Amino acid sequence: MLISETTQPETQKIRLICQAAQLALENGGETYRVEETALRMASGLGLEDVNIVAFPTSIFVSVGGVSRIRRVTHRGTNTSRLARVNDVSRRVEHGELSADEAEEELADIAADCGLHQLTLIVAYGVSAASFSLVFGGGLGTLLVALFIGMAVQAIQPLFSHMAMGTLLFDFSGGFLTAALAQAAAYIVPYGDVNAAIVGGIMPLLTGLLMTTAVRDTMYGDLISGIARAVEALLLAACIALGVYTGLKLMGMMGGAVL
Amino acid sequence: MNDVISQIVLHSVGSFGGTLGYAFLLNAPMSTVLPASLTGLLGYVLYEVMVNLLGQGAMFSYFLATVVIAVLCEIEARLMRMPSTIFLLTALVPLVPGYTFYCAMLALVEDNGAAAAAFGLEAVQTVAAIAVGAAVTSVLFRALTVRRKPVKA
Repeated sequence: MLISETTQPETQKIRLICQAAQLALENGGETYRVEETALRMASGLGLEDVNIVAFPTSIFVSVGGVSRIRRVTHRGTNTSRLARVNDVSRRVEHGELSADEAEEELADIAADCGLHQLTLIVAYGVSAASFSLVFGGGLGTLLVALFIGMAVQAIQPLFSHMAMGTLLFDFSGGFLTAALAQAAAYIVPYGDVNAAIVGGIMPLLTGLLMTTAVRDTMYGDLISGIARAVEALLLAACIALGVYTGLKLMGMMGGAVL
Repeated sequence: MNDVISQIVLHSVGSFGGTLGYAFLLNAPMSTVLPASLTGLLGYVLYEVMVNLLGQGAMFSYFLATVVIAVLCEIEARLMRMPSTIFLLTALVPLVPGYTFYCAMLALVEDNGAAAAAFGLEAVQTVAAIAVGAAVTSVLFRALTVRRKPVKA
Protein backbone atom coordinates (compact mmCIF):
# COMPACT_ATOMS: atom_id res chain seq x y z
CA MET A 1 0.00 0.00 0.00
CA LEU A 2 2.67 2.44 1.08
CA ILE A 3 4.91 1.61 -1.83
CA SER A 4 2.21 1.94 -4.46
CA GLU A 5 1.42 5.38 -3.10
CA THR A 6 4.89 6.56 -3.98
CA THR A 7 4.88 8.31 -7.28
CA GLN A 8 7.51 7.89 -9.95
CA PRO A 9 9.35 11.22 -9.45
CA GLU A 10 9.59 10.50 -5.75
CA THR A 11 11.46 7.26 -6.44
CA GLN A 12 13.84 9.08 -8.72
CA LYS A 13 14.60 11.61 -6.00
CA ILE A 14 15.31 8.94 -3.44
CA ARG A 15 17.56 7.18 -5.90
CA LEU A 16 19.36 10.45 -6.49
CA ILE A 17 20.00 10.96 -2.79
CA CYS A 18 21.35 7.43 -2.47
CA GLN A 19 23.58 7.92 -5.47
CA ALA A 20 25.08 11.14 -4.15
CA ALA A 21 25.62 9.66 -0.70
CA GLN A 22 27.24 6.57 -2.14
CA LEU A 23 29.56 8.58 -4.38
CA ALA A 24 30.64 10.76 -1.47
CA LEU A 25 31.28 7.75 0.76
CA GLU A 26 33.16 5.77 -1.88
CA ASN A 27 35.54 8.61 -2.60
CA GLY A 28 36.66 9.48 0.89
CA GLY A 29 33.89 11.60 2.41
CA GLU A 30 33.39 11.49 6.16
CA THR A 31 30.11 10.01 7.31
CA TYR A 32 28.79 13.30 8.66
CA ARG A 33 29.52 14.91 5.32
CA VAL A 34 27.73 12.10 3.50
CA GLU A 35 24.66 12.53 5.68
CA GLU A 36 24.79 16.29 5.22
CA THR A 37 25.10 15.96 1.44
CA ALA A 38 22.05 13.71 1.30
CA LEU A 39 19.98 15.92 3.61
CA ARG A 40 20.89 19.00 1.59
CA MET A 41 19.76 17.35 -1.64
CA ALA A 42 16.59 16.13 0.01
CA SER A 43 15.65 19.61 1.14
CA GLY A 44 16.40 20.98 -2.33
CA LEU A 45 14.24 18.31 -3.95
CA GLY A 46 11.38 19.06 -1.58
CA LEU A 47 11.30 15.71 0.20
CA GLU A 48 9.97 15.56 3.73
CA ASP A 49 10.49 13.20 6.63
CA VAL A 50 13.97 12.24 5.48
CA ASN A 51 16.25 10.12 7.62
CA ILE A 52 19.68 9.01 6.65
CA VAL A 53 22.30 6.96 8.41
CA ALA A 54 25.72 6.41 6.88
CA PHE A 55 28.43 4.04 8.03
CA PRO A 56 31.76 3.57 6.27
CA THR A 57 30.35 0.39 4.73
CA SER A 58 26.66 1.14 4.17
CA ILE A 59 24.01 3.81 3.68
CA PHE A 60 20.41 3.72 4.89
CA VAL A 61 17.96 6.25 3.51
CA SER A 62 14.34 6.47 4.47
CA VAL A 63 11.88 8.97 3.01
CA GLY A 64 8.35 8.91 4.32
CA GLY A 65 8.17 5.17 4.78
CA VAL A 66 10.14 4.24 1.69
CA SER A 67 13.64 3.13 2.43
CA ARG A 68 16.69 2.28 0.43
CA ILE A 69 19.87 0.56 1.53
CA ARG A 70 23.17 0.79 -0.30
CA ARG A 71 26.14 -1.40 0.42
CA VAL A 72 29.50 0.33 -0.02
CA THR A 73 32.21 -2.18 -0.73
CA HIS A 74 34.80 -0.03 -2.41
CA ARG A 75 36.39 2.80 -0.46
CA GLY A 76 39.06 4.95 -2.03
CA THR A 77 40.01 8.57 -2.17
CA ASN A 78 39.26 10.71 -5.17
CA THR A 79 38.90 14.28 -4.03
CA SER A 80 37.87 15.58 -7.46
CA ARG A 81 34.73 13.46 -7.32
CA LEU A 82 34.17 14.49 -3.71
CA ALA A 83 34.30 18.16 -4.66
CA ARG A 84 31.92 17.64 -7.58
CA VAL A 85 29.36 15.71 -5.52
CA ASN A 86 29.52 18.46 -2.93
CA ASP A 87 28.97 21.04 -5.63
CA VAL A 88 25.98 19.17 -7.09
CA SER A 89 24.34 18.83 -3.68
CA ARG A 90 24.69 22.56 -3.03
CA ARG A 91 23.26 23.48 -6.41
CA VAL A 92 20.33 21.11 -5.91
CA GLU A 93 19.72 22.63 -2.48
CA HIS A 94 19.54 26.11 -3.95
CA GLY A 95 17.26 24.96 -6.73
CA GLU A 96 19.78 25.60 -9.50
CA LEU A 97 19.64 21.99 -10.65
CA SER A 98 16.56 19.91 -11.39
CA ALA A 99 16.37 16.23 -10.49
CA ASP A 100 17.03 15.17 -14.09
CA GLU A 101 20.04 17.44 -14.44
CA ALA A 102 21.41 16.27 -11.11
CA GLU A 103 21.04 12.66 -12.20
CA GLU A 104 23.04 13.38 -15.34
CA GLU A 105 25.74 15.17 -13.35
CA LEU A 106 26.05 12.32 -10.87
CA ALA A 107 26.32 9.76 -13.65
CA ASP A 108 29.01 11.92 -15.21
CA ILE A 109 30.91 12.07 -11.91
CA ALA A 110 30.69 8.31 -11.49
CA ALA A 111 32.08 7.84 -15.00
CA ASP A 112 34.99 10.23 -14.39
CA CYS A 113 37.91 7.89 -13.99
CA GLY A 114 40.42 10.53 -12.94
CA LEU A 115 43.97 11.06 -14.02
CA HIS A 116 45.76 8.78 -16.42
CA GLN A 117 47.84 5.99 -14.92
CA LEU A 118 51.03 7.47 -16.43
CA THR A 119 50.41 10.74 -14.59
CA LEU A 120 49.85 8.82 -11.38
CA ILE A 121 53.09 6.88 -11.86
CA VAL A 122 55.04 10.12 -12.26
CA ALA A 123 53.17 11.64 -9.28
CA TYR A 124 54.01 8.69 -7.00
CA GLY A 125 57.63 8.82 -8.14
CA VAL A 126 57.95 12.54 -7.48
CA SER A 127 56.24 12.17 -4.12
CA ALA A 128 58.48 9.29 -3.01
CA ALA A 129 61.64 11.03 -4.24
CA SER A 130 60.76 14.28 -2.46
CA PHE A 131 59.98 12.52 0.80
CA SER A 132 63.30 10.65 0.65
CA LEU A 133 64.90 14.11 0.59
CA VAL A 134 63.03 15.04 3.77
CA PHE A 135 64.33 11.96 5.55
CA GLY A 136 67.96 12.74 4.83
CA GLY A 137 68.58 11.18 1.44
CA GLY A 138 71.04 12.56 -1.10
CA LEU A 139 70.86 12.66 -4.88
CA GLY A 140 71.43 8.91 -5.30
CA THR A 141 68.69 8.09 -2.79
CA LEU A 142 66.38 10.51 -4.57
CA LEU A 143 66.82 8.70 -7.88
CA VAL A 144 66.29 5.29 -6.30
CA ALA A 145 63.17 6.52 -4.48
CA LEU A 146 61.86 7.99 -7.74
CA PHE A 147 62.23 4.62 -9.43
CA ILE A 148 60.70 2.72 -6.49
CA GLY A 149 57.73 5.06 -6.36
CA MET A 150 57.06 4.63 -10.05
CA ALA A 151 57.30 0.85 -9.70
CA VAL A 152 54.83 0.79 -6.77
CA GLN A 153 52.24 2.87 -8.60
CA ALA A 154 52.78 0.77 -11.74
CA ILE A 155 51.52 -2.37 -9.96
CA GLN A 156 48.50 -0.58 -8.47
CA PRO A 157 46.02 -1.39 -11.29
CA LEU A 158 46.60 -5.11 -10.66
CA PHE A 159 44.85 -4.74 -7.30
CA SER A 160 42.17 -2.21 -8.10
CA HIS A 161 39.44 -4.73 -8.96
CA MET A 162 40.49 -7.40 -6.51
CA ALA A 163 38.63 -8.27 -3.34
CA MET A 164 40.75 -6.98 -0.45
CA GLY A 165 42.70 -5.10 -3.11
CA THR A 166 43.71 -2.20 -0.86
CA LEU A 167 45.17 -4.51 1.76
CA LEU A 168 47.10 -6.50 -0.82
CA PHE A 169 48.31 -3.35 -2.56
CA ASP A 170 49.59 -1.89 0.71
CA PHE A 171 51.36 -5.13 1.52
CA SER A 172 52.87 -5.38 -1.96
CA GLY A 173 53.81 -1.72 -1.96
CA GLY A 174 55.68 -2.09 1.32
CA PHE A 175 57.32 -5.28 0.15
CA LEU A 176 58.36 -3.91 -3.23
CA THR A 177 59.76 -0.74 -1.66
CA ALA A 178 61.89 -2.54 0.91
CA ALA A 179 63.07 -5.20 -1.54
CA LEU A 180 63.93 -2.81 -4.37
CA ALA A 181 65.70 -0.32 -2.10
CA GLN A 182 67.92 -3.04 -0.70
CA ALA A 183 68.51 -4.76 -4.02
CA ALA A 184 69.61 -1.42 -5.51
CA ALA A 185 71.99 -0.94 -2.59
CA TYR A 186 73.67 -4.28 -3.33
CA ILE A 187 74.25 -3.27 -6.95
CA VAL A 188 75.24 0.39 -6.44
CA PRO A 189 75.90 1.80 -2.98
CA TYR A 190 73.76 4.89 -3.52
CA GLY A 191 73.50 6.22 0.00
CA ASP A 192 70.73 6.05 2.55
CA VAL A 193 68.65 2.88 2.12
CA ASN A 194 66.33 3.84 4.99
CA ALA A 195 65.47 7.22 3.45
CA ALA A 196 64.64 5.54 0.13
CA ILE A 197 62.32 3.04 1.82
CA VAL A 198 60.53 5.64 3.94
CA GLY A 199 60.10 7.86 0.87
CA GLY A 200 58.54 4.93 -0.95
CA ILE A 201 56.02 4.08 1.77
CA MET A 202 55.03 7.64 2.72
CA PRO A 203 52.33 7.96 0.04
CA LEU A 204 50.85 4.63 1.20
CA LEU A 205 50.56 5.68 4.85
CA THR A 206 47.29 7.54 4.96
CA GLY A 207 47.49 9.30 8.27
CA LEU A 208 44.25 11.01 7.50
CA LEU A 209 42.23 7.84 8.06
CA MET A 210 43.11 8.22 11.70
CA THR A 211 42.18 11.91 11.62
CA THR A 212 38.83 11.03 10.07
CA ALA A 213 38.35 8.38 12.75
CA VAL A 214 38.91 10.86 15.55
CA ARG A 215 36.75 13.47 13.86
CA ASP A 216 33.87 11.02 13.34
CA THR A 217 34.08 10.01 16.99
CA MET A 218 33.98 13.62 18.14
CA TYR A 219 30.93 14.35 16.02
CA GLY A 220 29.20 11.49 17.79
CA ASP A 221 29.43 8.98 14.94
CA LEU A 222 30.92 6.45 17.33
CA ILE A 223 30.50 3.40 15.14
CA SER A 224 32.05 5.08 12.11
CA GLY A 225 34.91 6.32 14.24
CA ILE A 226 35.75 2.86 15.51
CA ALA A 227 35.36 1.32 12.07
CA ARG A 228 37.74 3.83 10.54
CA ALA A 229 40.28 3.47 13.32
CA VAL A 230 40.30 -0.28 12.73
CA GLU A 231 40.70 0.29 8.99
CA ALA A 232 43.63 2.64 9.59
CA LEU A 233 45.35 0.15 11.89
CA LEU A 234 44.75 -2.69 9.46
CA LEU A 235 46.24 -0.80 6.52
CA ALA A 236 49.24 0.32 8.58
CA ALA A 237 49.76 -3.28 9.68
CA CYS A 238 49.67 -4.42 6.04
CA ILE A 239 52.34 -1.92 5.02
CA ALA A 240 54.43 -2.86 8.05
CA LEU A 241 54.11 -6.54 7.20
CA GLY A 242 55.13 -5.83 3.61
CA VAL A 243 58.21 -3.85 4.65
CA TYR A 244 59.09 -6.49 7.25
CA THR A 245 58.87 -9.28 4.68
CA GLY A 246 60.90 -7.29 2.16
CA LEU A 247 63.66 -6.48 4.65
CA LYS A 248 63.80 -10.00 6.01
CA LEU A 249 63.84 -11.65 2.60
CA MET A 250 66.56 -9.42 1.22
CA GLY A 251 68.54 -9.86 4.43
CA MET A 252 68.42 -13.62 4.00
CA MET A 253 69.06 -13.69 0.25
CA GLY A 254 71.36 -10.69 0.02
CA GLY A 255 74.65 -12.34 0.84
CA ALA A 256 73.91 -15.49 -1.12
CA VAL A 257 72.55 -14.19 -4.38
CA LEU A 258 74.24 -10.90 -5.06
CA MET B 1 73.09 27.43 12.70
CA ASN B 2 73.50 27.79 8.94
CA ASP B 3 73.59 24.02 8.62
CA VAL B 4 70.28 23.75 10.38
CA ILE B 5 68.72 26.41 8.19
CA SER B 6 69.98 24.90 4.94
CA GLN B 7 68.69 21.55 6.16
CA ILE B 8 65.27 23.06 6.82
CA VAL B 9 65.24 24.60 3.34
CA LEU B 10 66.12 21.25 1.77
CA HIS B 11 63.44 19.46 3.80
CA SER B 12 60.83 22.05 2.90
CA VAL B 13 61.57 21.57 -0.80
CA GLY B 14 61.15 17.84 -0.22
CA SER B 15 57.90 18.20 1.67
CA PHE B 16 56.50 20.48 -1.03
CA GLY B 17 57.33 18.01 -3.78
CA GLY B 18 56.00 15.11 -1.75
CA THR B 19 52.72 16.87 -1.05
CA LEU B 20 52.37 17.93 -4.67
CA GLY B 21 52.80 14.37 -5.91
CA TYR B 22 50.39 13.08 -3.30
CA ALA B 23 47.74 15.61 -4.39
CA PHE B 24 47.84 14.13 -7.87
CA LEU B 25 47.62 10.61 -6.46
CA LEU B 26 44.36 11.61 -4.76
CA ASN B 27 43.02 13.09 -8.01
CA ALA B 28 42.73 16.46 -6.33
CA PRO B 29 40.89 19.18 -8.27
CA MET B 30 43.56 21.16 -10.14
CA SER B 31 42.73 24.46 -8.44
CA THR B 32 43.39 22.97 -5.00
CA VAL B 33 46.74 21.33 -5.74
CA LEU B 34 48.93 24.37 -5.25
CA PRO B 35 47.22 25.87 -2.16
CA ALA B 36 47.17 22.48 -0.45
CA SER B 37 50.83 21.79 -1.24
CA LEU B 38 51.88 25.20 0.02
CA THR B 39 49.91 24.65 3.21
CA GLY B 40 51.65 21.31 3.67
CA LEU B 41 55.02 23.00 3.12
CA LEU B 42 54.21 25.73 5.63
CA GLY B 43 53.09 23.25 8.28
CA TYR B 44 56.18 21.14 7.84
CA VAL B 45 58.52 24.14 8.02
CA LEU B 46 56.76 25.24 11.20
CA TYR B 47 57.32 21.78 12.67
CA GLU B 48 61.01 21.77 11.72
CA VAL B 49 61.60 25.30 13.02
CA MET B 50 59.95 24.47 16.34
CA VAL B 51 61.91 21.27 16.83
CA ASN B 52 65.31 22.37 15.49
CA LEU B 53 65.49 26.09 16.20
CA LEU B 54 63.18 26.68 19.14
CA GLY B 55 63.89 23.39 20.88
CA GLN B 56 60.27 22.44 21.48
CA GLY B 57 59.17 18.87 22.08
CA ALA B 58 58.27 16.79 19.04
CA MET B 59 54.70 16.00 20.10
CA PHE B 60 53.82 19.61 20.82
CA SER B 61 55.36 20.67 17.51
CA TYR B 62 53.34 18.06 15.62
CA PHE B 63 50.18 19.19 17.36
CA LEU B 64 50.74 22.89 16.71
CA ALA B 65 51.79 22.36 13.07
CA THR B 66 48.64 20.29 12.53
CA VAL B 67 46.43 22.94 14.08
CA VAL B 68 47.96 25.61 11.84
CA ILE B 69 47.53 23.40 8.76
CA ALA B 70 43.94 22.59 9.68
CA VAL B 71 43.03 26.25 10.24
CA LEU B 72 44.55 27.23 6.88
CA CYS B 73 42.73 24.34 5.19
CA GLU B 74 39.40 25.40 6.65
CA ILE B 75 39.95 28.96 5.45
CA GLU B 76 40.96 27.78 1.96
CA ALA B 77 37.96 25.49 1.85
CA ARG B 78 35.60 28.35 2.62
CA LEU B 79 37.26 30.66 0.13
CA MET B 80 37.12 28.08 -2.66
CA ARG B 81 33.78 26.58 -1.63
CA MET B 82 35.00 23.02 -1.41
CA PRO B 83 35.04 20.41 1.38
CA SER B 84 37.96 21.06 3.73
CA THR B 85 38.85 17.36 3.60
CA ILE B 86 40.27 17.89 0.13
CA PHE B 87 42.90 20.29 1.45
CA LEU B 88 43.49 18.48 4.70
CA LEU B 89 44.08 15.10 3.07
CA THR B 90 46.95 16.52 1.05
CA ALA B 91 48.45 19.06 3.41
CA LEU B 92 48.88 16.72 6.39
CA VAL B 93 50.95 14.17 4.49
CA PRO B 94 54.46 15.48 5.32
CA LEU B 95 53.70 15.22 9.04
CA VAL B 96 52.78 11.52 8.93
CA PRO B 97 55.46 9.72 11.00
CA GLY B 98 56.69 7.40 8.26
CA TYR B 99 60.25 7.36 9.50
CA THR B 100 59.40 6.35 13.06
CA PHE B 101 57.02 3.73 11.72
CA TYR B 102 59.80 2.35 9.55
CA CYS B 103 62.33 2.39 12.41
CA ALA B 104 59.94 0.24 14.40
CA MET B 105 59.83 -2.26 11.52
CA LEU B 106 63.61 -2.24 11.20
CA ALA B 107 64.00 -2.91 14.92
CA LEU B 108 61.58 -5.82 14.63
CA VAL B 109 63.60 -7.31 11.78
CA GLU B 110 66.75 -6.97 13.87
CA ASP B 111 65.01 -8.79 16.75
CA ASN B 112 65.22 -5.72 18.97
CA GLY B 113 61.83 -5.80 20.63
CA ALA B 114 62.47 -2.96 23.09
CA ALA B 115 63.47 -0.51 20.36
CA ALA B 116 60.55 -1.62 18.20
CA ALA B 117 58.10 -0.97 21.03
CA ALA B 118 59.64 2.46 21.71
CA PHE B 119 59.50 3.52 18.05
CA GLY B 120 56.04 2.03 17.65
CA LEU B 121 54.74 3.93 20.64
CA GLU B 122 56.28 7.14 19.32
CA ALA B 123 54.60 6.63 15.95
CA VAL B 124 51.24 6.03 17.65
CA GLN B 125 51.68 9.13 19.81
CA THR B 126 52.51 11.21 16.76
CA VAL B 127 49.49 9.97 14.84
CA ALA B 128 47.35 10.70 17.88
CA ALA B 129 48.75 14.25 18.14
CA ILE B 130 48.03 14.87 14.45
CA ALA B 131 44.59 13.28 14.52
CA VAL B 132 43.46 15.15 17.62
CA GLY B 133 44.92 18.44 16.36
CA ALA B 134 43.13 18.21 13.02
CA ALA B 135 39.89 16.91 14.49
CA VAL B 136 39.65 19.50 17.26
CA THR B 137 40.28 22.32 14.81
CA SER B 138 37.69 21.22 12.30
CA VAL B 139 35.08 20.49 14.97
CA LEU B 140 35.64 23.93 16.51
CA PHE B 141 35.51 25.59 13.12
CA ARG B 142 32.19 23.93 12.37
CA ALA B 143 30.77 24.77 15.77
CA LEU B 144 31.75 28.42 15.37
CA THR B 145 30.93 29.05 11.73
CA VAL B 146 28.02 26.80 10.79
CA ARG B 147 24.82 28.52 11.83
CA ARG B 148 22.53 26.82 9.36
CA LYS B 149 19.02 26.58 10.65
CA PRO B 150 17.38 23.45 9.29
CA VAL B 151 15.16 24.62 6.45
CA LYS B 152 11.80 22.93 6.57
CA ALA B 153 10.19 22.65 3.21
